[in-house]
Amino acid sequence: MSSIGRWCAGVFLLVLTSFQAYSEDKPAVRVVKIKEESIFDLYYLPISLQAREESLILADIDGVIEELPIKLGGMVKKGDLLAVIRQLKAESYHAPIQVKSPINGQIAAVKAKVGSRVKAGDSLLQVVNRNKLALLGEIPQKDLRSFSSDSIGEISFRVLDPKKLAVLISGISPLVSSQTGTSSCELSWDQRRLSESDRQAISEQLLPGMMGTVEFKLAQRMGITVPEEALSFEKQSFLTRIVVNGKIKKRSVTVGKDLPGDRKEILSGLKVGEVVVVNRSKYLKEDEAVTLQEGEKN
Amino acid sequence: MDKLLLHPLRVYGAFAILIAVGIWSYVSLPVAMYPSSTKPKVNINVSYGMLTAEGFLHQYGKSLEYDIRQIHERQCTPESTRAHYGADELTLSVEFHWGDEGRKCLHAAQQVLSNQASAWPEEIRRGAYAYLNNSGTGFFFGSFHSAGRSPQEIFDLLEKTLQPQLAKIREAQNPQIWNPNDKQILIELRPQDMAAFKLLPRDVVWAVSKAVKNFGVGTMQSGSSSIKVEVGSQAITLDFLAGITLERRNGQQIRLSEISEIKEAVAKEQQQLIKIDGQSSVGLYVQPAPGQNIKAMSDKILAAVEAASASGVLPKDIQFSVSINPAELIEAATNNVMKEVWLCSLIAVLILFLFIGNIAGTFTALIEIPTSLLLAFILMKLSGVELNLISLGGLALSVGMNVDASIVVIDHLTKKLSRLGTKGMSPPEIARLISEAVREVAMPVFIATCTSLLVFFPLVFTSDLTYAILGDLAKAVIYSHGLSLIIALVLVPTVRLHLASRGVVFDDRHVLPLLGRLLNALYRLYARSLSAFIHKPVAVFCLLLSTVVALFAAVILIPPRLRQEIIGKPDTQIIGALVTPQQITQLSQLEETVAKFEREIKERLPGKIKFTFANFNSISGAFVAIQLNNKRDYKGAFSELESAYKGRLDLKVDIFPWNPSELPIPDPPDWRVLVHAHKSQAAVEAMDFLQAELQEAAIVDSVYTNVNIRQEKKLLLSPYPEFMTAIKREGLGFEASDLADIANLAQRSMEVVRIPLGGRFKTVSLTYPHRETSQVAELIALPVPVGEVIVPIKALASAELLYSGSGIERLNDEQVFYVEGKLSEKEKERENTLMARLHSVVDNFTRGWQRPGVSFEWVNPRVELEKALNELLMAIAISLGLIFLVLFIQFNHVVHVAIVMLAIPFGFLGVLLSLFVFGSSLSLNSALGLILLNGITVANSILLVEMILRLVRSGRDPASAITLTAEARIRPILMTSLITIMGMLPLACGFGEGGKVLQPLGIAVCGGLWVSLIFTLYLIPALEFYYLRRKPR
Repeated sequence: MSSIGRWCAGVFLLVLTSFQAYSEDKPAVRVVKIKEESIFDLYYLPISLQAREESLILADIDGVIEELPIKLGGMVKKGDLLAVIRQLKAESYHAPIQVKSPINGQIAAVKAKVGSRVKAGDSLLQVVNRNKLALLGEIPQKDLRSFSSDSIGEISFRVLDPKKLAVLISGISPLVSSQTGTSSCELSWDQRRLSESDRQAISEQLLPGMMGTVEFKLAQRMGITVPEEALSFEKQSFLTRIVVNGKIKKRSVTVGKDLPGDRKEILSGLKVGEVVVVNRSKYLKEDEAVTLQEGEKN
Repeated sequence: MDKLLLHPLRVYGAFAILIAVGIWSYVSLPVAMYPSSTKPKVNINVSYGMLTAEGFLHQYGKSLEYDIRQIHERQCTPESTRAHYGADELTLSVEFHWGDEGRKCLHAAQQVLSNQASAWPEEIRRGAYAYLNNSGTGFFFGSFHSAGRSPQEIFDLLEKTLQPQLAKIREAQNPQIWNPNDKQILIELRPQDMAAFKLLPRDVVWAVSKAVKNFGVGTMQSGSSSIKVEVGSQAITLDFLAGITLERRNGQQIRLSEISEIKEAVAKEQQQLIKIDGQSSVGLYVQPAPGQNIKAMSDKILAAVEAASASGVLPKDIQFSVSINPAELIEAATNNVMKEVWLCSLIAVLILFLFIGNIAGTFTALIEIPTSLLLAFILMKLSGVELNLISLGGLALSVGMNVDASIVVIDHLTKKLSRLGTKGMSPPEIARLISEAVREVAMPVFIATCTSLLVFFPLVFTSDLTYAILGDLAKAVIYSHGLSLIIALVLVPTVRLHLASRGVVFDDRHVLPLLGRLLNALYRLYARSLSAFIHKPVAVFCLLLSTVVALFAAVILIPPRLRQEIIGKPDTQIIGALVTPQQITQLSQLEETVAKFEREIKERLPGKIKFTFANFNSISGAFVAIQLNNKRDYKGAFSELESAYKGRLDLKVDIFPWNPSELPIPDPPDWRVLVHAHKSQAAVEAMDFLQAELQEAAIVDSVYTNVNIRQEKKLLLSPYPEFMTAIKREGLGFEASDLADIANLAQRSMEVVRIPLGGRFKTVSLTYPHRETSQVAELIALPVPVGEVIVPIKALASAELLYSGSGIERLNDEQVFYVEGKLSEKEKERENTLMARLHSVVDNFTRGWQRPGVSFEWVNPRVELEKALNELLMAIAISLGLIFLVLFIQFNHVVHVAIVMLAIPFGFLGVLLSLFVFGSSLSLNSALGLILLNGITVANSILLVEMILRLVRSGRDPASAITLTAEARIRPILMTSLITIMGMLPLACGFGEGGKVLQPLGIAVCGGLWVSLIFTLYLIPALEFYYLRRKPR
């Protein structure tokens, strides 16, 4: 081969190999396609269970407890005899006072003993109707406007773990406490969404005094989210990188709230269908050519 | 002296004793990798509680920093303080001076801390502690496992039997047998139950502490100090804890078990976790105590384990495997240098033989080498110099130099006596001749040796880094070279006489006649060419001028093109990786990240990895050491990992070569731009844009900022003052510190007390269940009892997820912002072009940055290195001055002294050229090579000039004086120079472990000596000729 021929071949080979090297040099990125999805804010509140019907039985008169025909935890019905008090004043004969239960329920506490002297106003017994429970909580005033009568939530109790029960907001107090800045609220069971086993759990396992946590999904809306890794903070603003025709384009975005699963809401800057880079091996410039890899399943 | 020579046995006897002492000294000298030098560093960590970084800085941070800087004790003065105010806590790094004592510094810092902390709120005070940061000193790690026993069993056994033995090793700092499954006692409080009973975390803390105190045992922690309470000797059980009662406001007693779950568990953020190949093991992790010898420590540890297993204390089924033993590396490196010493000696012998040509002469000169080395060990032992790479390097250096004196003596002896002929002379007559010959040559030899020593002398008086690295070397050289003089003047003649009296003839003929004739021809050639040369003034002038020009050119052009480093690093077999995960909150997440990393590297380098060792430092990061099977794979594996993890976002890993017994020298970044601004926000903004600009330009791979300008998340709870005052007024019993406690418990755990359990002390901590606090939304909904109601935290405090350019860094009381970076190995090869481009991009940027009040400054981060080099230059200057003095005393004439010293710039030129040609670096060692070269070239010049002057003074004309000198002195000069050059060749090649450390030195001397030799042989005599010719006699 002539020397020129060899020279040409050499140059051609050189160009070929450098082109090879160049094309191998494109960084690989993992991408994900933007979809519109349902977003909501998670909101939690501690809720305490209290009995709706509860009676603290007080002594009407001074006297001595003659009888206490009840036991702690025993069931009583409205009108059942709870205690008999014998008056001590001997001016005139009065029959011993019978103290009767004003409500159905269970004896929750016994504060007096047979034979002990009591004065008017002393507490004797506590009767609680465990079947009628109120779910009470305190909502901070700044969050009040997020709630409406449509707000539904799920409440969980430690004893029922991992079961969650459906609840609704039934009422919110108009007063805001000056000490805590909260308004009292009451929840009720969402009967439409309770199953038979739910009801059973409620009646058998929940007791007044327990505490649970309710989770609300507020501000439901449609929107765009991206994983946190897709965002970078450069030049004092948030950016994502999208791939258009195999090249990188930077997009400035405004970022909304944090969402579960290490994702962030994007308020503006990205459109549905755009392909966002979630993983890269190096700093990527505008218009840099990249090769795509399979992204995560959204 | 004759008397001495006639009684060789006395001389031999004296030297034999000294040699025996020398051998003993060698065996008993401690061995290390590098000279032991300390620059203690104390770290103080304080978590802010509920304050922000700025809040903490202004309220407490500034005065803490100020007080620390006021520490002023002997052997304990801070040099600089660096305070990093992160999202949750302050890390204050205090660097003391070289040579300060570590423990003293720690104690002083702890004092300051507890003084300051006494005025701080409880939750901040609890989270403050100080410790010595000796992360740079390397460590020993071994692990125990047994097929039949669980780690817990092994641990319990070893703790009783082996631990006390290890505690006796004074070189080790708190040697611990470490059980990864070591559990704390965790009281997992249930926030709902606590709220229902209207109890707060502080009620629990109080109740538990009181119960334990009443029981009479335990330790109470308060920040960095602990109060040990020990009255009874009974152990507390978990049941006891469960039964601790808390009292409600209404008198009701609640048991701890009603509001919590008590278990033995691994805490949320365990301080240390160590894994080998991903498996937790019962480990033995030992760091050296500050300033102690790590090799001695490793050896003693191994000895203790051996003893335990030999005596049966350690059962046979428990195996001990050593993962990281710095002693091995040290031994390998020092053995390597010793091999080089042997090699140097061998080469010296060979050259000696080639030139001297007879065995007797060779043998006589040969004695010099081992004798001077062995005797040097005595002096080293007396002055406390260890055997390390540096001092051994010094000995290797001196091998080539030590023979010089002997060679000159023997050469002169041989010439004189062979000319006179000693056949038939009686021993006393020979002795007289010999001592006469020795006297003739003693002065120049003495002066030459002195000047060689003088060049090293100033090194002993340098300070800090320079002394730490080169002090040992200077001492080693001074000792052995100084001793060589005595040996040359005493032992060598004695041996020669002894041989002569045994009938060995002083013969100047060569054993290999052909070689002998060649050499003689060479000498004559030199003499003739020299005398031809000196008679051609034009030639002399040209040569002189071109040398001067070359010198100027070299000084201006070469140093900027050379790499700069403090000292070369020895080769290593271990790749280090620092895994720093982003945004994790749990140790288990870090474990997963590291496991993923380990899987990946095993896939990338199948079969090449011997094992991996991972050390987790709570959740801030993990250090993984990857030990390769074969050293040959190192370079390839390293560059593969380096490129694989460069810039990855999902797994941030820094790859670097790691040697567990390295010198903790400063490792500053290669470039740094400082940003000045009145407002920190303006500075952060400028840094952000500059960093983005530099990343876009893609000149270098790593561009860092010292504060985190990426948005960092911090949960900030700020109580609403209106509610807190109302609550306080109503006496509802809830305070701001309770908020802090709850937030704290949700994210971490709170240590309460340490109690004895099962024969050992265990920590009792409070925490909240993880499940209920993993998300911020859940965290801020935790219930809090206020009076009669239960409200979520978010009612009483605004919970903000702060996204700020957080992170404040203060250096010596001033807030600093900078953008900086380090160059990778590949980038270092093109350092100068890269730096030039970097400079132009930054300059463009700073010109275009229009915001007011912001300015930029290029700073030199390599201050320490420059200081060290400057000190070295100072030492060189001083040594030159001393040489001048000594020479002046000898020659009594400024011009002659000047001519002799002219050899020095020639040497400088040679050094620069060879450093440049071989791509070496400008480091302390190459600067040292320069120093060495000065001594050698001056010595050579002295040999020439002294004889020339002597001949001229005794009546000869300059031309013939020069010719005679050339013939007479060419042999010793050539021999000594060749021996030095060839002797340095192994060093210059840098083979083996530890070779890289001394390589620049070898290159500098080898290359430099060639160049200066040529000039010395021709120019110096020529200049003398011209000067002497002009001078009226």
